[in-house]
Amino acid sequence: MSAFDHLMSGFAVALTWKSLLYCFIGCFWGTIVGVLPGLGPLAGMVLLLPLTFGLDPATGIIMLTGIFYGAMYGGSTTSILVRIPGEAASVVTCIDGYEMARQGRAGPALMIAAVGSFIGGTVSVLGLMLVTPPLAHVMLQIGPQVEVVLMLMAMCTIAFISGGSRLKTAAMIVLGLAVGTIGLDKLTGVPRFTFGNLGLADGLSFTALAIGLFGISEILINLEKSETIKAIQPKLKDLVPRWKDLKDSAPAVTRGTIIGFIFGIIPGVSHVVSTFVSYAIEKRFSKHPEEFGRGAIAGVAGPETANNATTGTAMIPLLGLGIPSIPATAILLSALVMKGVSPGPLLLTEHPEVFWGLVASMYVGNVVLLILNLPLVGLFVNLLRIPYGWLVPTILVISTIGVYSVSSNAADVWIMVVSGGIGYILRKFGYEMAPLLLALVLGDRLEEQFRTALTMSGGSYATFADYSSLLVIAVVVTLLLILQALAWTFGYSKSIADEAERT
Amino acid sequence: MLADANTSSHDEGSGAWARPVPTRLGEVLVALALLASGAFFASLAALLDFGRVGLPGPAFFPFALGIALCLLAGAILYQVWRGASGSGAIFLGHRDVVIAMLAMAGLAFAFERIDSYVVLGAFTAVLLILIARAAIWRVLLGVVLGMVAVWLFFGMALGVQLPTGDFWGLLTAWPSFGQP
Repeated sequence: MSAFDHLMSGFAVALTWKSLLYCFIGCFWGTIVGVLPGLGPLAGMVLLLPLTFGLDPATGIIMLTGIFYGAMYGGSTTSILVRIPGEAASVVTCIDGYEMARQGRAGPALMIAAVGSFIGGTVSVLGLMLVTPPLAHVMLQIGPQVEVVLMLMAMCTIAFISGGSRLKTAAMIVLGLAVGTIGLDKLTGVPRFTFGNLGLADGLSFTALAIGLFGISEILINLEKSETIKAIQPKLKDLVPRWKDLKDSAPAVTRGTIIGFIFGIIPGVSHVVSTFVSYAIEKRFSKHPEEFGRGAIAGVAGPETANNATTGTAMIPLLGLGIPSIPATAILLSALVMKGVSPGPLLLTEHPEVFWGLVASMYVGNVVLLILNLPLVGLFVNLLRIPYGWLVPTILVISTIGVYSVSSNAADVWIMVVSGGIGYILRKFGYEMAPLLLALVLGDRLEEQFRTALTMSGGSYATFADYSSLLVIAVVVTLLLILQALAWTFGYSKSIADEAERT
Repeated sequence: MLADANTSSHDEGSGAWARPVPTRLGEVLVALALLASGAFFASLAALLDFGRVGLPGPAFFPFALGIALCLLAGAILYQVWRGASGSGAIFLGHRDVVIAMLAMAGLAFAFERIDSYVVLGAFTAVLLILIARAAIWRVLLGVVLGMVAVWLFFGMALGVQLPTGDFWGLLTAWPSFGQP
């Protein structure tokens, strides 16, 4: 079967009423969490994770992915209308987006952001579709030692480039890996840190930990800054951009797509990095760089396109290698594993309906978001008027029911509450939760593959330095150096990411 | 900084109950907690089978991670000692955060013991009254509509079985309580 035939079979999955409904729910909820400051794509996915338990794997993953890219769309709305980034990747959009809104040009800014997001998102799905199958094929040829090397490289990269202190990020990764060892040892069946409690045999509930560390801690942090938001309200008829806007945006959208697509491969904060690089490049290439910061439409089009173009690329390591590179894909990984589906090279042969259904749904989802975001922008802006105090109980009730429904165990509710408190304290002192979550998801597999590789090599650690492993390290390091050089060339530095995270 | 232009704050600064904790002290406490966690994993893993160098047993990974966590916590402590964390303060104990945490602890405690809908309703009411500072009639309306929505969506549409506890049994038996 050709890629086209596979894609058609994917559309057969994605266009069923059930898939369409859940794709719509995902996109809608994603836009909402993107719009609401303080609730990012990750918290949005985590909070609705339990809803996927009653669904088949393809439908569940379609909904969760819809939240992921839906949030990228929604983030621009608050950046442009309120000057508050809905999520970290929309920080740059605030600069020129809000200036445009102040000049009465919120409509064109929103329109260009949505169209750019649509183009970036769609092209990146095309890349996902074309790159993943050959990558998965290569992955099948290599052994567990290379997988170990890849996972270690991913974690090192996250520690190196993520916002905040590298030492703290490394501590979070190690803590995540350590917590992941709780439960029965996969290879020998020996219980570890269970204290005879059978409920801990499968380890601590990932859902409870993820909702606690991300969702609850985020809510608690946001409770400290109860604010009434005053948004600029655009009218539907004002959305149509002028010819000059389209002319100025087209090259920015093209460049943003390429930048987002390339940078999406970096583990950690790729979506944030891509927006800053895109903005810097647009400023560098502009004939009127002095307009940047005063409402240049290219300053909205480029970064918004770039951050959506990362979504498809970020899925490549997950679906092709089975290794999540960003926290959002870690949630997708855990959702698939809970469904008995292992993402990675075998996904395309064992569960083609999941992969191709997801790819097709992302095309559909991007159209849904384009249709959803523009006419309903007024509705999403009005969401900002709901007092946070009313949203908190709603989110917490959904979280509690979700966590409980996974295994009908009240202890999981305790795990959620306690991890929420711990996450809150850690975040207050500058520790990031994303690396912890990634490590938590990868920990089991890292240990299993590490020990399997050693068993297969007869106990020789040299297996981790064989030709294929070294080749992988060389390729990854070269790629990262090139991207880092590109980022530096255009004025991006880690301090910018730190500032974005703080904002 | 970006939020300043378009938002107005209800609370003054970090909230009514919030108390400043010196960043340095907080950093030390968090690093010590990480150190303790590392020691916990390493010491308990030491009781398990380490296997051989070429064929690690179940103890190898958690032991190595425990040690690594201790080393990283030590490095963070060293950084704090060198003065990297600055001399500022972090506010902890915000009123709404404390209320939310206590309410969640109560929810976790009572969730399976008492009817879950009653507990979730009470939890919602507490948060709406104390955090949203909503009027009683709005709270009652919100709780009733919210619980009906929960029942319809989770119970009926998704088939989630929430614990019922013995709250209704106790309530119906209450008039005859204490009678022979």
